[in-house]
Amino acid sequence: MYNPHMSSNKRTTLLFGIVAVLSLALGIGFNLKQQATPDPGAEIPELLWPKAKQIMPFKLFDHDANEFGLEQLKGHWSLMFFGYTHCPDVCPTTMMLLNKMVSSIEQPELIPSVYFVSIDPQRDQPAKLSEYVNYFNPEFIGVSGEPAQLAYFARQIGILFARVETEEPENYIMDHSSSILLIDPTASISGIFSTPHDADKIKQTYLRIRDFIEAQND
Amino acid sequence: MIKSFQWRFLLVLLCFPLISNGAETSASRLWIREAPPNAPVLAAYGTIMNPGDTILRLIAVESSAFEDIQFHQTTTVYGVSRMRAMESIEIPAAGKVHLEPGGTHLMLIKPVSAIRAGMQIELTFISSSQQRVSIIAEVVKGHPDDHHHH
Repeated sequence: MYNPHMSSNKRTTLLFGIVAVLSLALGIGFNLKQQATPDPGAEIPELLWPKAKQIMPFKLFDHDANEFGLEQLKGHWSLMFFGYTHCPDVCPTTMMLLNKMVSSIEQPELIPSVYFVSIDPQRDQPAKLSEYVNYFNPEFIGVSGEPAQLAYFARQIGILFARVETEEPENYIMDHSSSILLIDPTASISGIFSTPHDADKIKQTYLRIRDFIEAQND
Repeated sequence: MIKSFQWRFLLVLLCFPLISNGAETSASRLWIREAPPNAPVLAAYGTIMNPGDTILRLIAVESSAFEDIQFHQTTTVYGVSRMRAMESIEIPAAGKVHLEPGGTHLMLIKPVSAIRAGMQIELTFISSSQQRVSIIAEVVKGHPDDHHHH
């Protein structure tokens, strides 16, 4: 291939050409890499990144009265919503929306666990919670706990709730955060969905966040 | 005058079950959302029309199917949902009020027996001038829109 008679001018041109092709290749490669790891913060406002909130150990129980703690949240994706069974408006609306959302996910392996955490343990015993969540979706899991444990759990993950008295003492109301939390397999909160909720948007955003977090771990 | 107003109000409200979807904007229409079995509280939503030429103030709702019914309003501020009882609901002259999930609704307390989708339940509204008007609300699982689009 080497031609000793090639003029120095031609050699310079060839070298220039090789450098140009290499630069272009490097440039494309770099560009692709950039596209693979965009800054998701700007694109997905619901994503908590890079400051996902690691949940600390806690002790609650599920609707079968089994212990429910950090271990139960690890190894899978979860959506968590807080409410109470004496809530006629926001809670059923959100539970139906969560059912619609998970039902629209076509690949079963992508369906997250869904937890309904009752912030009203006085009225929501496990059997009642079980019946309640089962109505919306038999796979959903009801969770509650001792008031002190519940308060600790809510506080560490930024969920607010407060009891409001009414004329009849047994018909008290609970004010509560109505955001839906997305918890990743390391038991970190990696996303927060604020109201107003939209099933399709939550689904799309959940799948994007999941893709993104899993790409970071590859 | 008062008598004829009452009659018009009654007529429009009671016509609802006979009116098709196309006429929704001209008639009151209420639905009760089915709840989990043994749920202690349910909610009713929909549209209430006031065909009269004066403000209509509804001060109470009664039904033999529930121990008590209250007007409630949910507001969500800084991500926290708060539900509060309202003394009354006012509907402007020739106007309407929308009751919807996450907003103003009727809170139906302690059903006397199980409330299941497909049931028709009579709700009687009482106005500040003591008019009594009944609306038949249908029990729906999910949301009425879910069924219309399918």
